[in-house]
Amino acid sequence: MKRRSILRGAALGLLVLAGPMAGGAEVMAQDSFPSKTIEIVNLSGAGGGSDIFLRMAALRARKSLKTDIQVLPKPGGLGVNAMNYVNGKPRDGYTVMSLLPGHLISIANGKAPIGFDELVPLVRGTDDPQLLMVAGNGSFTGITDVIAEAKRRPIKIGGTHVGGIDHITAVSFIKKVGAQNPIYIPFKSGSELVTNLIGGNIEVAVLNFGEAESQIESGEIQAAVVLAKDRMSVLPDTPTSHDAGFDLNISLVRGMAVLKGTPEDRIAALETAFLKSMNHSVYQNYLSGSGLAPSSIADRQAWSAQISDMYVSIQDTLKELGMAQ
Amino acid sequence: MDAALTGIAFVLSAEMLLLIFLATIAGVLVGALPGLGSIMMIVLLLPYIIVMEPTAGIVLTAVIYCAATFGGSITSILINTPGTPAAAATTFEGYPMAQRGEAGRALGMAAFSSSVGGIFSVLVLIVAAPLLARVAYHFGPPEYFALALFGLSMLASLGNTSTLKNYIGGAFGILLSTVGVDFATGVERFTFGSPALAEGIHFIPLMIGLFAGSELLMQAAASDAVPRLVSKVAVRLPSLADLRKVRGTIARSSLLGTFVGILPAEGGTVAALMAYNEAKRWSKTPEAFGKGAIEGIAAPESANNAATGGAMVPTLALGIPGSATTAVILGAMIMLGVRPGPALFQQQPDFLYAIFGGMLLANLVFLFVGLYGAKLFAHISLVPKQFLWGTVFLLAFIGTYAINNSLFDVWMMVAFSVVGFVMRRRGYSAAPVVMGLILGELVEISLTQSMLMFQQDVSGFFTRPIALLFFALALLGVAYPYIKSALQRRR
Repeated sequence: MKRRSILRGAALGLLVLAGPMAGGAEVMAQDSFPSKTIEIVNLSGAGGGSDIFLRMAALRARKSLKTDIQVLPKPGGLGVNAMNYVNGKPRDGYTVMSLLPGHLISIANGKAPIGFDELVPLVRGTDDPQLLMVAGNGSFTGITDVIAEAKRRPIKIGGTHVGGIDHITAVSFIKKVGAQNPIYIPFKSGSELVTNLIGGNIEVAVLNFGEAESQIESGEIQAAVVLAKDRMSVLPDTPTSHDAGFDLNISLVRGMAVLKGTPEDRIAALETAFLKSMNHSVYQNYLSGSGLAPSSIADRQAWSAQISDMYVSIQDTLKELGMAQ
Repeated sequence: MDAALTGIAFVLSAEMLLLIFLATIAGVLVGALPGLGSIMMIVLLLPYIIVMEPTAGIVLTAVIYCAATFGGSITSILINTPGTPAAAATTFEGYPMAQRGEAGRALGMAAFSSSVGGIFSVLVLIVAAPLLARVAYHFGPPEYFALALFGLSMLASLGNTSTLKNYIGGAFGILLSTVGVDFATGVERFTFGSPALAEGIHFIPLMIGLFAGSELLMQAAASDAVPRLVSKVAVRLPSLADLRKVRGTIARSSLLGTFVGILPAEGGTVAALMAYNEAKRWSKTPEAFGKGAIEGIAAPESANNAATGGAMVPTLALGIPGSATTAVILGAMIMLGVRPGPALFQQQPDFLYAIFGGMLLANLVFLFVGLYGAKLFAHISLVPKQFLWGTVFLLAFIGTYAINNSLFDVWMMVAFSVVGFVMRRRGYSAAPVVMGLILGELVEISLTQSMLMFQQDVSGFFTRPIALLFFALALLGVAYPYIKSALQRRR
């Protein structure tokens, strides 16, 4: 009996504490955004690269928006599950989605429930250029070698799954330099690619810097080319695609978006809060720890422009592969 | 030497000791709860870990990993529901022993062999990490294909059901593994247009359904039986006689578990199943298996804990995760600004020694938690059946839902509960299905990759000695039951 009365007392106490807060929130709901929890729906599971990005970006945004932000993983169907979920929610700014190349691929091949023009890109948080890498002790010493050999015979290129961003990168590269169709060998993860590149099972791997950082440092892997306009500060000696004479920019970008119909003032509030959060030292440390430049962060305008460009090239490549709608 | 002392001194500070102690208890509990495991706990803790001191944060994740791997055995033994996938093999002998009133002996053996396996693997990790990690580079797709075939060959002598029923169960598992987007062509198979199936059948709903759900139905079907009285569980260290019986098993299983853990694609689950099989193969009394043989607990428990240390080898030495949990730990390390890899051994050796020290301590602490606390944990089997299974089912629902916040997964779990129930009534066991599902995917992907590598020329396999070795072992595995019965007939 005694314990029960203590529990009852504790519960009452909590109610007393929570009462004014709950009341306050209700009053605020009438005129200000946000007044309840914001959900960020992600296309892959907890603990992965995009999950970590969203959690890091949400960290300080909670403080400036004065509300809780939850990351909700909805994996499955390369973003289709996530977009189905988001599409079923009111477009009121409380449901935000992650936006990655995967979403664009699913929209381009017609599997997504929404069209491309329904996306309103919000902010970009990471911009991780794709690199072509070769083994440190292999037959290729640089990108010119790779291009010359790829014109002579089909080379073995490894990347993640068929129809994904790595595959699109490999096909686009071959098309740009006018080489022979490669043998594309799919692997499950970047770490498997690293192992098989060093083990000599593939000749070229499509990777991001962070996935092979320690192997590049130890010389087991050589970064042959960065598929970007500018060289990476962490790889000053690695030429860009422009240095190597072909114009191809593909990066693994991660950002956020809402759906069309969300009120403009709420879009602006979200954009401001996430930009502020990502400029905080906590997020900056995460970027530098992942080998990413501070220029990863982009506002709505720059992010929208990049997404539109990328969508066009994804559509083209998928048509090439016979996978577009 | 300086680094080792700094690292060890860090772990032995008062607050770290407290943290390790609490994390071990929490890890054991989470491991014991079906559907919840070290991955989920670490992921849920990530927001807190990233504001911790990096070394403390990573030690915490490693400790939870070790402790949860042991914790899984408690519910395996007491209620026939593996708390973690890696403890699935422990149900085979653990539950029969508990039914016989020997839950204390079984739990004591599980705690002891987990601890020995775990400590052995951490010692391997400390001594040979940089050397052993090189093995990973010699395992390309052809080697994985051969390894997976070898694993499937073990179906022939898995569990206590007939070889034929095991093959049928395994084939069902392989069939399930083909659901989803085909890895090599991007074509959807057996998804019936549902995006929820595009990534295949999720492992956890299947496991929870086949093991926990079907057990619930079995219990419900047997509701007329007199409520079983659970004898007092006095968990104690294994007796000298038991120790003599299992010392060879523990030694072999620890080695096997460490080795399997080091391989990037395989973790504690496969290690435990393989160790169980090997224990049965080596046993002088294989007929006792399935009825509560003590070696059948020592083998998977030492192997799955040995796999934790093994899985940390490629994670720390190469930055390549050796299991699902270490993948999450690797993510946490990167978030904390620590980049694992060969360079880490030169730049931050004290950090590594702190992890080694933390894992060693965790393996010792859970031995005591297991010996003295399992009595407490064992109380869940004293709870009346209707409450216990009601709670288990609730946790199964929450656990299934929590992975992807998906109701579809929950329905899948319910469906597999019924499938598991029917199978068990017909004399099939669930383990071959799970093995088929794990290995089927690996067989298909690695064969596709190998054939692409060899440019569709099968003879390429003959240029890979490690693959040939595993092919030979696989043949032996398939032939083994027949050789054995032929030998017995002659006798």
